[in-house]
Amino acid sequence: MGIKVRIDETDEKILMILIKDARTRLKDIAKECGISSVSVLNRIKRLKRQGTITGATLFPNLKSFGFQTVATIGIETDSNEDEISRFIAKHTELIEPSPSIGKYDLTALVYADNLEALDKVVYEVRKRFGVRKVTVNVWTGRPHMVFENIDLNPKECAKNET
Amino acid sequence: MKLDLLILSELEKDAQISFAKIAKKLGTSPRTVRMRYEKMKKEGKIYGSVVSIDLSKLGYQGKAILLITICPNQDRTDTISALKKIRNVLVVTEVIGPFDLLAIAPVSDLVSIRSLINEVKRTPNVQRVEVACISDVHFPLNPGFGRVLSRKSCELAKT
Repeated sequence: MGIKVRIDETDEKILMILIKDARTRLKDIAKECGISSVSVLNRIKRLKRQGTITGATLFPNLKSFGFQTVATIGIETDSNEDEISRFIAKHTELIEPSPSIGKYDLTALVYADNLEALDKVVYEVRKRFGVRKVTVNVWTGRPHMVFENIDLNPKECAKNET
Repeated sequence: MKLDLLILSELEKDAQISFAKIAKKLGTSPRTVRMRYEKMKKEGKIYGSVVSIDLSKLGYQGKAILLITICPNQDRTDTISALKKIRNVLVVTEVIGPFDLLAIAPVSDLVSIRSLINEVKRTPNVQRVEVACISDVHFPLNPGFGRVLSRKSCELAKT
């Protein structure tokens, strides 16, 4: 995990524009921020060097990939979470499962061609590792993505209070 | 159709790659790639592209997955639109399973988890909220997302 970096208001503005559309032209970003294209490029380069910007993701309609089913699965287990993580990342279309705190010991996002395929994945996990419980929540309808809600400068409340 | 899938496959690896580069790789013209891209966008095959951020650099420690139960016989529409207005809630979706709605939000510390849960509890028609916190700090989603889709579109293009 990285160390927190300092970003200013202009950086925040640039990030927010790129969150809304990662393919925005430099000159349009420059216009909106009131700085030159060169400074925008330099700032983006710095953000990449720092490791704040790691790339860009394209959001397609999953159905055009033949994925009819998306689900969040939660696993409750007594055995080694890392081992299960490794197994499912290797054998299924799970999007990197991560150990979690709270309701489940392990959560993952799964893509499957259909419900039957999803059922097979869940069965496999249950059988191999003797997990206590696997909970499946299947996503329905078009998910609401509101990425622009992100707070790019979260306050460190805990630190201020102590 | 095959070309569309190959273009998607390249864009899933890097959504900021230039159309010229894709064209060179696939042995076609940048103009064709641009036209196909615009067409897929228009047809709703592509929703958009989002810059990927390492949230730990901004001070986040992980993400909270909020599992929400709605009061019986209540409409979800109001709840969804209210959830979408909460700061830091990035994804809201209806689910079938033990819960009714699922929301994902990055969290910076314990205080932020608590205030997030409180805010969700105040949302109309919410009966119960459960939380699972993960240490994943990739925004908007785990990089595995693009990898899976890129591979899948390559497979589809072959068939």
